[in-house]
Amino acid sequence: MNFPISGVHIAPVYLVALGFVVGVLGGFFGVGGSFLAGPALFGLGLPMNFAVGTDLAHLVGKSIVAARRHHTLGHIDYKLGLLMVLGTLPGVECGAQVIERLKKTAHVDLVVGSAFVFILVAISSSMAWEGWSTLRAGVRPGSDRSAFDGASVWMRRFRVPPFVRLPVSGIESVSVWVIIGISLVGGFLSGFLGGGAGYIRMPSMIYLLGIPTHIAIGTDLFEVIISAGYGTVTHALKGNVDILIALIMHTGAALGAQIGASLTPYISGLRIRLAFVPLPLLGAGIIIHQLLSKR
Amino acid sequence: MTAEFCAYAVLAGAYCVLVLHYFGGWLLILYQSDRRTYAGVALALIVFQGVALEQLTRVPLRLLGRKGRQDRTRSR
Repeated sequence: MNFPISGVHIAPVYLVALGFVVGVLGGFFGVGGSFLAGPALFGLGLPMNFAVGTDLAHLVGKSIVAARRHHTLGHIDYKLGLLMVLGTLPGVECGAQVIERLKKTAHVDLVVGSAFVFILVAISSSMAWEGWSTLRAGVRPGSDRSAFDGASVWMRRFRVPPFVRLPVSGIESVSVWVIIGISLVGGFLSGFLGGGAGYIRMPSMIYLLGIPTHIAIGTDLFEVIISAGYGTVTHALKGNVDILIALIMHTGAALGAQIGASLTPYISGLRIRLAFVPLPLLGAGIIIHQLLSKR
Repeated sequence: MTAEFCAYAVLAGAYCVLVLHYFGGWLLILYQSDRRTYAGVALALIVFQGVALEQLTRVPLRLLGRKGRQDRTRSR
């Protein structure tokens, strides 16, 4: 079927199926699924700038579904989510501006693809290392403790005011600048690579802020609604969003996100993190294959 | 339960065709002529669809939960 805005031919059934898979993963892991959706859209023939913008648009609808589910489970720290927006929005704009510059040099696919592969491999390796270290430290798989818990203690030593208390996340005091710094990096990657950048923000919230995994998942999804909404508008203004593709992908994602979010209470934090490890590698594999086949 | 998911798949398929048929041309004109309106419409469409499908997908999921509870009761 022809999508006139981006000028590509894709069978809608692929988009619905991709949306469903990404929806289940997004609802379950609390990440938008851009580590898979962006590469898969690129693999289906969408130019990288359209893959980035369209992925952000579909993410808005999907995150509404998953966040509503996590809200009913009490997994969202709204105070933290709103503080993170302060860093995410400028970050998204910076990332979108970089894409705009790259579009003019005609190297957007190669540069964004390579950066995506590097980030995905780094995330997967660090989460595998953390999971392995946690298991070696004798922490039971059913526990939500991490071998990197020391990192969050170290981050809380950053005593630059103002400070904030986050009772829902069990944090007594943390510098607002730490939260804004983490979300700024996440926002930049969201604007530059598409999606909600939950693959970097979710691990950052767990390891650097010390937030329980389930709260990190719900809060990340809430934050993604706002950041991906802004990303959709800014990328649409720059001509990078094929909303027809996003709407069709979302029909599958809506059902998948409900199913994925319903599964989280039955599985422990460490198991969720370990199950996440191979997924970014899958996305990296799709991008490498597509970049090589385009040469 | 399969029937509910099949019904959802048929509804989703019909929706895809309708969206492409009725919105495709109009959104392309908007994309080419007025990018600001296109950005606003794009966000409004995906938010509206997000809320609407959230309500719609609750039904098969609720039925799935009910069926699971019935199976567990029967096995006891």
